[in-house]
Amino acid sequence: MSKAKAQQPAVIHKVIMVGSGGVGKSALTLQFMYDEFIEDYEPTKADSYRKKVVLDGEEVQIDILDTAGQEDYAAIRDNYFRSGEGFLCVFSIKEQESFQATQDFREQILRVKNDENIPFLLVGNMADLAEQRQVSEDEALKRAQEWKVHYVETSAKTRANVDKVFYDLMREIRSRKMEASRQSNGKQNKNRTSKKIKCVIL
Amino acid sequence: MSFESQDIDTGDDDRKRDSSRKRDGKREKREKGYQMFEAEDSDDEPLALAEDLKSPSKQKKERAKPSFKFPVRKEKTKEKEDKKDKEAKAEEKEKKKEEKEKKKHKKDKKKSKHGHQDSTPTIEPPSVTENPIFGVPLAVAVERNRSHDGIELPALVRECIDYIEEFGLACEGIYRMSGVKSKVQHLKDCYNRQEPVHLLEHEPNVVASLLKLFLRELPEPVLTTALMPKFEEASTIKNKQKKVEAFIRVIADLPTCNRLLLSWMIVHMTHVIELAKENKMSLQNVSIVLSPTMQISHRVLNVLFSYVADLFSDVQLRRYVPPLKPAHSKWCLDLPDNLTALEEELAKQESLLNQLHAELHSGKEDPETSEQLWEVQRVVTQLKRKIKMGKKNVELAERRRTNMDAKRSSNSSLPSLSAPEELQLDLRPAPAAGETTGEVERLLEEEYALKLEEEELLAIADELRQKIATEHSEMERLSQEIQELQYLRQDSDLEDLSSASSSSSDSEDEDDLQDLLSQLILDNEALEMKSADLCQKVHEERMICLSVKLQIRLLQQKQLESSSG
Repeated sequence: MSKAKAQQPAVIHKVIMVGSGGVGKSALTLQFMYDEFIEDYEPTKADSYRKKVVLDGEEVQIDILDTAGQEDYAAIRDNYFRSGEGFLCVFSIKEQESFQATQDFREQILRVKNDENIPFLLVGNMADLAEQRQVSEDEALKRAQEWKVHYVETSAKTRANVDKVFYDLMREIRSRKMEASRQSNGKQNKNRTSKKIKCVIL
Repeated sequence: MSFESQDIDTGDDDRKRDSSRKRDGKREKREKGYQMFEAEDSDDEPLALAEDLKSPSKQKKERAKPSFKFPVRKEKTKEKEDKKDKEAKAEEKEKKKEEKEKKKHKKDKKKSKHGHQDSTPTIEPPSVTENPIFGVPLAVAVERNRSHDGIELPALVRECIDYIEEFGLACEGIYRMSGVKSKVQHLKDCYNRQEPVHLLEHEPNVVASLLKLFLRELPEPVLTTALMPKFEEASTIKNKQKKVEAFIRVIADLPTCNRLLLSWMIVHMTHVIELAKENKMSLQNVSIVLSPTMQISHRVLNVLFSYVADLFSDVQLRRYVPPLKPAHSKWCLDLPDNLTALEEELAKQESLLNQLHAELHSGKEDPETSEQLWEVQRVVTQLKRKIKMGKKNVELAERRRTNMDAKRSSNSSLPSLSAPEELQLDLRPAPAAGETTGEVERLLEEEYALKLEEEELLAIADELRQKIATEHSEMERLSQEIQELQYLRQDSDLEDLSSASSSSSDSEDEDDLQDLLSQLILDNEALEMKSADLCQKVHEERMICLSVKLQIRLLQQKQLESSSG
């Protein structure tokens, strides 16, 4: 409709949702995409979405791939991991097993991407159900520190921090891309902090 | 038999003319020699085979003709003819494969020579020969060039047949005249590299040649080496009934893709033959062309064409519509609007998706395929979403209708609401809501619309009930009148009885009256039909009025909202 006439922006950031089954990957995605919260419990095989967003004044596109939590679809998942640029690793704060599983997902991603600094966020979902909490904020933060990533708690239901996780991840992806292009130009190997400074200047 | 050998003659002459033209071409552009060589050789191959099947006497001619044939091959064909044992055939197949490999090599060389003058043979980019569709077993071609609508034929075959069915059937000499070589080669390359192909830009003869080229380069005949003798055997059966039965049996034994290719080609060619007056391709002409390309003997072909109705009654050429591709804007995808079309499209997209996954899984690793994977997945997601929404809406409508039916049946028996109008009403808010407005907003809007509709419907119900009441009173009045009249008539009947027997002319009058009565009854029936029709129309109009009123009120409401907010 009215969207069609707009020129599509050149920059696309590819985000992949991972995490065990039923932690709310699809719920987060749909809340971000369409501002809707869906309670029906239907396992995802794989779904892909594209949205135009304004990231710090710049119009970009975000491609979100919502994957299956179940191991049954691991083969399909792996094909996508290679082309993913950033990962939201989701668990449910009211389910300890889902938190443990994040370790496996992290390893799988690192194996495929072969890159310790891949843009990555650890996401504890279902923050609105705090009374049923099984995973403490401390242990989640500890794991995030181990991995040198950020930890954010979200609620797909109340939309708390939903935009934040996607935008934060996009920023990480963007700075990674800039770093990569800078590396290919000048042959400088910078660490992450210096890259952040550069980002502000731009 | 005699006409067949004659056919071969013409075929041969044809080909000779062809090949002489080719030789001219060769002289003209010597540097393209290898290509010419390849083309000619592949031309000869199946023909020689068909000939040794049908008329060995023709081999002299073959030999007399200057040719680039490998001498080994000639011997092989002879050997095969003498013994006709399977081993020899298998061996020959091996040989053919080898030859094809060699040809490919030579082609590579030729291309590199074209590029730089010094003849260092470079390897062609892998994408060219990586997963070709031409020259590979049919099952492999089906796999690599999948039709995503569930029919196990290479999309290439579907597209060529579709094109010829639409634009080529009436062309004179279709499938006989060869298309411009370079164009055919270009199309072949495109298909082999899995690049997008635009058949519409080419003449029918080019497309026909492309299809023939594909058939000719199949390593195994469509009828399969194993079943070929059985076909031959069946074709010699004298009794028609038994012959057809035997054919049905052997055809059923073919692998699915072979059976499909055979049946589609035969049915398609029947369409060509049906227009023989225009395209001059009679049964015989088509046989001459098809026999060498498909490596089917004339006798077998003849049976296939003669009993096409018995053998392939269930074959329906279905147009191939490839899975939707997001347009360049990538934002707006024109998805179909009805559920069945959506489901069909979903099946196609999922088939495409599976293929992409399989390709990536088998180690293919290029960014394009990955990109396509995301894209197709996106289309699948959108389709699923739309289907889900559509189903929800239908369910909603269903529930509402049953509610209304229940209400109505408790009140009075009206003619049932016409369903499509109602559905339209329901579906209207859905697409508008789409992705932009949230679910909540959509539901609120829908609720409001429903409330309005209910109000309007209640008003109509009141009106109708009043009408029913007046009708009732009218009916009562009329029945009273009837009763009175009956009273009077009984009296007059009595009087009549006394005078009836006296006059015989009365009976004639009665006949007349009877006629009149039946006429009146007929008239009445017609009028009643008209009345029912009109009632229906009135009802429809009323429903349209209702929907228009609803729209007006909705718009008014929106205006109010926007002016106040």
